[in-house]
Formats: sequence, C-alpha cells, structure tokens
Amino acid sequence: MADPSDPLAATRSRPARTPAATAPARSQDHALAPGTRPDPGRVHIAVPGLVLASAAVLAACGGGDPASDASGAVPGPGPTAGAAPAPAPSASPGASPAPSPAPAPGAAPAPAPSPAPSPAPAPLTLPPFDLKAASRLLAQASLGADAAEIRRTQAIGLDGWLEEQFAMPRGQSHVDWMVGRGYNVGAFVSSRAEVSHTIWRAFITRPDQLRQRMTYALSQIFVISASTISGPCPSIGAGHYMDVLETHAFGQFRDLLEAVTLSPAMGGYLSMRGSQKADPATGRQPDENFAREVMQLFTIGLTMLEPDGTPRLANGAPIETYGSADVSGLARALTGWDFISGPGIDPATEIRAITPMQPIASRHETGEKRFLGTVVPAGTGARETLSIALDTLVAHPNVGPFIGRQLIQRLVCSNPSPDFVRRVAAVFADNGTRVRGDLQAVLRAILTDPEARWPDTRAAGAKLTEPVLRFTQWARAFGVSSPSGAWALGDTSDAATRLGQSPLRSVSVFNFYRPGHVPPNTALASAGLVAPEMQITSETSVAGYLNFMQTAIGSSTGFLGSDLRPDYAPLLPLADDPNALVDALNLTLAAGRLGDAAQRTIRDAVTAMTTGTDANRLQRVRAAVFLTMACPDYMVLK
Amino acid sequence: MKRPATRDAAARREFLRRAASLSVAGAAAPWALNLSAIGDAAAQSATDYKAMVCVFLLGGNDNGNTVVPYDDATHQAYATVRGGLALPRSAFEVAGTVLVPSVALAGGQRLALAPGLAPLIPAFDAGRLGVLMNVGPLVQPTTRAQYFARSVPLPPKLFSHNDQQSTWQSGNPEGAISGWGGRMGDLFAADNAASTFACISTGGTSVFVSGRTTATYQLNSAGPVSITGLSGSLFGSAAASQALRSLVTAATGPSLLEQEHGKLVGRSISATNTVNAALAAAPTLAAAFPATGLGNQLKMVARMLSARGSLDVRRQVFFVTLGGFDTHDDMLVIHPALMTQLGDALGAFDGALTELGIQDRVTTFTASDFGRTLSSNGDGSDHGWGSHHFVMGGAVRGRQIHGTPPVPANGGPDDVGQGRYLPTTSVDQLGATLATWFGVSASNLPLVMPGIVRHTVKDIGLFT
Repeated sequence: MADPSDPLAATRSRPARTPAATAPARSQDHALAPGTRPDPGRVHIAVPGLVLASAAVLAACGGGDPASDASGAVPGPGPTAGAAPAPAPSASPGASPAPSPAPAPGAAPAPAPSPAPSPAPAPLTLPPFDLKAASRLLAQASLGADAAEIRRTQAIGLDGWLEEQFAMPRGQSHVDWMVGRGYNVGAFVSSRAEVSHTIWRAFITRPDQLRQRMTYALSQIFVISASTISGPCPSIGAGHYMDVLETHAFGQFRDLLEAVTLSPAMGGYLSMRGSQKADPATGRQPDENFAREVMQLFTIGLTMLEPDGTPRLANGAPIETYGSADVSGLARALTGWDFISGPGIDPATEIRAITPMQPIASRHETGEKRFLGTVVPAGTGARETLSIALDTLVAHPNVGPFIGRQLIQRLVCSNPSPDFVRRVAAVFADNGTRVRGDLQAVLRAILTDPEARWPDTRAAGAKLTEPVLRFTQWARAFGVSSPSGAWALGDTSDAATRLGQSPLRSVSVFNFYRPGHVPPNTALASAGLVAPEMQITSETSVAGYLNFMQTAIGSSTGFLGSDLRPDYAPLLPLADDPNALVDALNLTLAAGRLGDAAQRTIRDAVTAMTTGTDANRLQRVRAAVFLTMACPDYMVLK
Repeated sequence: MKRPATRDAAARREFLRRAASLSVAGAAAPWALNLSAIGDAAAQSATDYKAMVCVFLLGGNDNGNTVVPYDDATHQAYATVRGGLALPRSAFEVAGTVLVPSVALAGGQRLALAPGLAPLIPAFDAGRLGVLMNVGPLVQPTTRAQYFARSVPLPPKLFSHNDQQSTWQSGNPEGAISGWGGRMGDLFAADNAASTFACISTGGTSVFVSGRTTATYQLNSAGPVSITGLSGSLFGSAAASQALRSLVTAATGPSLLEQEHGKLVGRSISATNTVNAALAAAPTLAAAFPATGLGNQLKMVARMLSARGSLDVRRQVFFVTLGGFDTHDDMLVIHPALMTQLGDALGAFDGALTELGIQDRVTTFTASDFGRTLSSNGDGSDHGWGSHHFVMGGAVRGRQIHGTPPVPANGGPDDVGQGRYLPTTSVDQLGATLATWFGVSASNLPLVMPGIVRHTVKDIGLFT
C-alpha cells in the first residue's frame, strides 16, 4: 500500500526501465515533510565504523573556511585503514526494509576513526535513507530517475542499489547500435552527429545507470571531442571511445589508461597516432601532445599533491610534477603508434576506428628514454616501453587524489574537503586487497562517504548541476522515448539555442570546464570556492537552457528535429492538486531541495491555470515541471 | 580634457566603495593591501570614448608560420629549422603579404605575413597595423643563460594551455580571478554608468574581462538571447510566466551558488532588454563580415560600438576568440585556414571602424596561449612560449615592426629548445602600453599589470 506521506504515491506507475525490482514494497518510509530539512542533532543511530562529529560533518565538503578543513576534524582512515575492510556505511537498519547486503569481496573499507586528534564530538550517523536521500543518490550516481525508480532505490537501500548496479550486465555497445543502423557506410563515414544519438539513447534508456554516469564522468577527464577527432568514421570512432570508457568504468585504472591511450579516437585527438622518432636529418621531433596531456590531465597533474589533494609546498610554492625534459622523454617513449593497417584492413571501413592502435617498430625511438625518474633502456620495444610508461604514471602518488577529487566533483560536490579526498585516494591506493586503481572501489568510496551522503546546504557542499544532466534527468523522470528508435537529438552544444554542452563534445581537451575554475567576480571567488560548471554558465546559456527546456517539456511529438517525447501520464492525476504535484516534482527532480518560497510560487502559478480538461491538466504539468527546472534551488545539487 | 574635481572625487568614492565591498573576503585581502599601498587610489575618469578588443587565438598560435622571415638568409635559416612545415618565399609573393615597413629592419631582414592574412596588408600599409615580435609572459627581463640556469623566477606552468591562457590574460595561472581587461574596467567604473557593458566577451568565459569588481557580460555573437517564457505567456498561462520571472532571478537561495545563478539570470534579462534596444536604435553597418565564428563575433563587437551612444559607457574592453590553434597535427592544412579566418575577420573589422569613424578610439590586439616550436614533429608543432602578435587601430604606430625579431636557429640566442622562443617583450609591457593608451595613469599601471614594476621599460611605443 502506498504511504500517504509519500509524495510519489499518487503517481501512476510506469513499467520500470530497470530490471526486476526485487525489494518488497515498503510498509513505511521516512520522507520528511516538504520544506523540512534533516536536523543533524536528531539523528542518533549508530553505524559501526561510522561515528561522525556534527561539527565535522558541517565542516565537511570544503566548509566555508579552508583553514578549518585542514584541522582534520572529520575522522578519516589512517594510512593503513585499507587493511581492515568493514561494512560500507548504509542507511540505518531501522529505516531500510531491505537488509544491508554483506560486504562484497573487495568492498571498500569504511572510513574508520583516525588517530588524528579531534575535539570530542557528539556521536552522529547518517540520516535515514528516505525517499529524498534516494532521489539525491540518483542525482549523484545516475543520469536521472523517475518516481518508481526512486521508490525502488529507497526500498533496496544504498548498498543494495550499488551492488545491483555493479553486477548489472552491459547492454548493446555504441558501435553495435550504430553499425546496426548503418552508420558505418555511405555518407555516414564522415558524419559526426550519430554518436550523440547513441549517447542520448544510452543515457536515457540504459538500466546500468551507474556505469553510464561513471562513463560520462570519465569522458570529462579523459576528454576527446566527437566534433574534432580525425580519422575515418568519426561517429563510430567516438562511439567506440565511449564503449572503451564504459568497459573500464568499474575496472582497473591502469587498464582504462592503456585502453584510452591506444584508442584510435584519442590517438587522433591528441596526435600520438603517427608520432615518430626524431629524425636528425630533418630536425623532426616526436609529437609531444599526448605525452604532455596524459600527465597534466589524465594522471598526475601539474603540481605535487598531498594525499588529501592539497598542493604540496616547498618554501611556500607548489612543486611542479614534471618539466620539459619529462615531456620530451615521454614523447620519445610513445613514438611509433598508428591506426591498424595491413593486408585485410580496408581503410575505407570503420575497422581503423574501432581497433586499438598498433606499433610500427621502425618508427619507435629505440634509444634510452627518461621521464619522471624512470629510465627505459635502449632497445626496448614500443609495447614494453608503453607498459613501463603507463606503470610509471599510475604508480605516481598524485593519481589517487588527482583523479579521486575530480570524480567527486563530477558526482557529488565542487569543493570536497581534503578529508573526503584523502579517504577516496586511500581507496584508490589500496582497495583493501592491495589493488591500486580499482575504480569500482573508488566509486563505492565516493558514494558511501559521509560527505556524499549527508545533505550539505552550504556552497562548499554543493555543485551546480550541468545542463546535460538536467536534461537527462528530465528525460528519465518523464519516460522520454524515441518511437523511431533514432534518438536523433544530435549535438546540443549551442549555448544560445540548446544546452551549451553536449556529451563528448567539449571544445578542448580541458573539458567543458576546469576542476579549478573560480567564477570571477562572484561571492564564490571571494569565499575561495571553485565552481567548475559556472564556466559554461553565462547570460546566453541561462536563456538558451530555459528556452531549450521549454521546447522539450512542451513537446508532444518531438522537438528540434528529433522525435523525442515525454510521457506525463503518471503525473496527470496530480494536475488538479497543485500541492501534490509540486511535492512530487520536488522529490523526483530536486530531491526535496525546493525552498518554501519556490514551492509556493509554483503552486500558486499552477493553481491559477485553467483546468477541467486533460489538455489543461497537461499544460499544468508542463508548467510545473518547467518552473521546477528553472529554479536555482533545483539546479544546485547538495 | 580636464574633468571637474567633483567628478574625480565621485569616481574615487565609487572605486573605493566597490573595492571595499570585496575586502571582507579573504581572497580579496591581497587586493586590499595593494590598494592601501597605492595610497590615494586610484579611480580614473574620462570624457572621451575608447575601446580595446582582445582577439584571443585559443590553443597556441604557430608564430613560425604567422610572421615569417622573408629575406633570403633568414628564410633559409627558418626553413632549415622548420623542415616540412616551412612556407616557401613564393607563397608570400603570390599572396602579396611581404611587409614593407616604414622603417626597415636592421641587417636587411624582411618579414612576411601568412598568406591568409593578406586582408591585413591595407591596414599595415595605411599605418593602422603594427607587428609585435616575440612577446610572452615573463616575471622579469630574462636572458637565455638565466633561463637555463633557473637563476631568475620564471612564469609558472609554462607550456600548459590553460595556465598560459590565464597568465596572458591575468598575470597568473589558472584560478586567477581578475584579468587586466577587467581591472581597467574597475578603474573606469565611474565613467561607465552602465557598468554591465564595461567588459564584454563574445568568446565564452574569460578571466581577461573579469575585474575585481567588474563582471564580464557574455554576449552571444548573434545578439542577446531572450527567455521565451518571460514573454507574457508560459504554457498558456500569464501566471506561470510571472512565476518564472520571480523564480529564475531569485538571488536569495540557501547558498552562494543559487544566489550567483539568480544574479546571473537577472543580469541576462536586463542586459538583453538594454542591448536589444540599443542595437535596434544604432545605425546599420554596411561593412560585410565573413560568416565565420570570428567574423560573427567581431561583427557583434562592431554593432555594439555602433550602439555605444545608447549604452552609457566611455571605456569598454571586448574579448573575442578563435579556437583550433593547437596544431600538433596536420598543421599545413589547419593553420592556413585559421589565418584566412583571422585575416578576413580582422580586415572586415578594420573596415567597420573606418565606416563608424572611430578608428582612433578602438585598438585591437591578438593574444594566444603561447607560441609554438619552430621544429616540426612530422606534421605539426608543439607548445612554445614567445610569439608574434598584432596591434591594430588608428592610434597605433602602424606599418612598423615592434620588438625584436628572434633568430630562427636551434640553439640560437632566442631558443630554449626545439625553436621555442624566450620572449624579449613581456605581456606586462604590452598590457601596460595598451593601458596607458586607454588612459590609465602611470601610478595606476601596477593595479592593472602588477608585473610591470619589474620592467624598466613600461611603454614599448606601440602608439603615436
């Protein structure tokens, strides 16, 4: 039976996109009344291994004062914490009808109290995993969810959802979908739009949502652009690249890095493909592009980091991780690779776009190569040299905090506290079974961290949700379909008329925005806070987003050249009850973040609208959805 | 022209008020100290109109094939280092881009522009275009020996795109929160009643046009975008449309992010109304611009210049961009096309300024992440440092080669490796010279270009 306090209870169910929800129907939920916020002081349920200080939680995720973050107020694992796996933190047993699953082998160690001195705090634990918490988790870890999925996730609990997602089989690959539609032949061999179709399709319909979200996050670290990659069949090549990221999304960082390095898309994008050993006769030098960016952007960054991601200083100044000699040394090491060729390889087909690059021995620098303190002896072949180079990069102590912090920023908040980064980096360094770079463990560590699970209303604990995620959230919340199966929405990069952002179409390898972007001339800058997503937020883009969403939300047979269309049938029964309508949207879209004023404004506007016919009710629903998605309260995830 | 003292006092008060409004925050502390160190700060005032336009070439422009040695001996040296990337002398002869400066370079040196820059030759010959050789970020004047010995401080994070973009624009690597275009906007704040339009970017977010107190206005190159739902009816409802206006501009959200987002949307709405009205009232431009990204942006800037009378501003800084310059690969295909786009758009803009009769009031200059290696990597060039740039406008000492042409030789006196040039003119000097033309007083130059204090030569003579 539906709980009367459940704002989603009155919505009609649509068949869930996710396979068999196994959890029993809940007899009870802990949704808070609209407008109320959890009070940390009233939550006392102890979870072993996860005793938090209220002050620490409030200082977490960056805090308003960077200096206080450095005090180590949030307990975190010590350097050896990985040795003792403990159950991952979960919702309070009393709040979750589904029993917490036993920790899976290799499960991330739970944060344990650190030996660091801390003021004796009042013991606290996480808030109950209620519907708001489930909606919030899905905003962090999926591309969006409808009411049924939020209820189902709440029922199976955080751990249940994570286990389900980690175990979920992958669906059809991007390449197979595109080839199946003939996008590898004829005029499509030079076309670039189709990769966006398949990405929208996957983001909106695939049930393996955590993998999709992680793939999207990785695509914003290991950046290529489908708009500019070279080589044949750019759409297929870019789709293959997404498949590569997806393949390794829960895998080992080292494998991911090698697959990215040898992918034809990256080979063309950062021009490692075709780079040859130096030629003294012509003065030709190896191409330094990939060698530089693989260090700066994909692994170690520019400056030495502490394990908590803060810069290591020498005499007050950051220490640079590498110099020009390291770049040229690594560039020498990465010479000799090219698209596959040879008998049976027809360069007119997509084969070169979907096959890892191959070494050509005569082009590889066989002299001694030095970089980052590693010496590759003369005479070492291209493959072995590559292996040494990638091992060197992955072993660098920066990788955990450098990559971990960026993944936190993509999923949870823009200004994670140093302790949050330290806990995640520790899991990157050792997943509990002495494996370095286990991305599944890293994801689990991020999403189960108290700083991720505890709603944080301050700017430091927040992130501006990027336009692509707002759009996919809408599409998934309201059952967007493409009856033709083409999903032909294409490139949404135009800020004036579309989203100002399109997956896999950043303007440069530096992504849509930088992890360190400080929006100039804002109170955020004065407070010393970064806000990456603000880098693509402008007077133009805010208007473009609203206009795009108004068109999308109002469409009944498709929009902007596509046949994508929403299904508001489950919401129509609420159209004549504006309170219930706003409550449902506040939970589904905003995880309960809409403030009282915003809720009242939307309620009043809907109330003022005509009703009496289904057409009127549809307009009411559209207006309520659009107004919700226009609210700053909605746009900022916390 | 002398301003009444009361106006200066008002300008100073406004300047101090805006500066003080930031000083509560920790991040603004250095600025507050800076301000007090300057003492009698510092506001500027002006009665005339001037604008500065920065054309930023994203990705690091290949200086080697932009301004090219043309005399036999130097071209031979250039071709030797460039290998397969070298442009032949005949290319410049065919395009008519061999430069004939009013003062010949020493030693018989001659220079030519990339063939695609042919549309700039009329401006050069008419004395409205100067070429600035080998400019780049420096902490202080630096010799090659000092570079290799690391005996003087160097700009941090050399050769890194994002950091050198930021360094060019602000003086500091990524994370900087104000740039020198924006800091000029701060100084002239009292003269720009509509301060929204002091610093305008048609090329995306940029620290260059962000001041300590002056925000960037980002303008779409096709004109401001109106929010459809505010036009009176939203999904058939006037009430919904009204609700939208109140929701999107709410700047009272629970955290700074919501507040800043609400402020931005509010600025978008009001600026759209103002700019659309101003553009509608402005005379139509006859000048034809190429239908390219940069052409569209510079056309929008020209339209804004034509509408300046309705915008109540006396000093404006514009920022436009052209991307795609990271030519590690396929350079001989990509770079000429970019030069053509640059030349066509700048040539059209020069024509529009003549049409508007404001050549003397507008100075346009190019900038980029860095220059590139002279050495080839097979079919492209890699990240460098010093580069060659252009300064264009009626006030410019045009038809001149400014700065010092570097020697194209591996291991040569300007080479720090693979044909990366050690700059002989610093960005601080370029910026200080532009700021001085803009009207910034000598005592205020360090507020705009803090690094200028480490250079004896503060004006590199770009202006008449």
